[in-house]
Amino acid sequence: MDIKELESLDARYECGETELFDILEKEYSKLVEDNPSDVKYISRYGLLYQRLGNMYLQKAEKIYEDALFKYKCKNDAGYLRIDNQLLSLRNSLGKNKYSIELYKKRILEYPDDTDEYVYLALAYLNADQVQEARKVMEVAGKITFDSRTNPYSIANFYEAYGIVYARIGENEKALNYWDKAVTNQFCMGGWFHRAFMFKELGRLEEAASEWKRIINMLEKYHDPHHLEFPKEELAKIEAEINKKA
Amino acid sequence: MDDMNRLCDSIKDKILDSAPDIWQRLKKSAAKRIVEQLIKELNGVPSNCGKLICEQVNKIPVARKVA
Repeated sequence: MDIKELESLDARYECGETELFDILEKEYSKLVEDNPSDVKYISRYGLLYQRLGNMYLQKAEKIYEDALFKYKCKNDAGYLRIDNQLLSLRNSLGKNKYSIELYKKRILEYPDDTDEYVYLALAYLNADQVQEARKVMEVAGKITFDSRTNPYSIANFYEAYGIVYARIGENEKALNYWDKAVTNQFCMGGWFHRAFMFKELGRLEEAASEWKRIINMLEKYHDPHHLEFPKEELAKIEAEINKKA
Repeated sequence: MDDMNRLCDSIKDKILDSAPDIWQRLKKSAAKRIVEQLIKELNGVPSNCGKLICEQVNKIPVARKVA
């Protein structure tokens, strides 16, 4: 294909004609193969996939936005929020501002709902605005808890507060909050955070002990496939401990 | 002291009878005021370590950004 024609197709693809992907992929892969040291083609070839990835992310964003806040009541079985997925996806797209503005509105509308504060804090963390995240969590802790607060909301709150403290560097506080965040087999993210942090801090015995707790819980309640990763991590840590002994 | 406690309980009961959700409403109203203050404080310049100052809403196609 003539290079001018290729550039024209590329521009159309960039403007949203995704169906051109296969033609462009074929052309660029051949150009890269024929010119392996030409960075210009390598760059265009990589961008082709990068843009495709971005388009898919934007499509997923739209799906989540349409479904946002369509969940059941908090105490109903099957209650599920997709906010975390949307937050993470918007972080990849460099659109944290949207999340922050959204959850600022949500805490104004639902000032007594812990979850909304947690999502706002997580959006700030994604944007590396750690002090803002901390401020949000401090306020949430002061005004939202009472005897009727859903235990999963409390767990999410502790888990997120642990992440805030970890980002600030207050590791012991983070570890304590993560321990409080584990309520049952469906809500055990805190132990994973602890295991990774202990490892990072070189506290290998404690890291191993966290992985053992995780493995015990998974063995009791979950599909054995979930055990693969924790067992691998435990084996690596135990090997390191043995090497040091 | 017992009389005082009884009087307090009686007033509390009367308030709760006339507006059973009074404490929840008071709590929500107080929380709303605190949130409004929080939002004002968050609207300042973002802290330096963050992305918000430079994060642009992703409208520029990747290729043009690179170019």
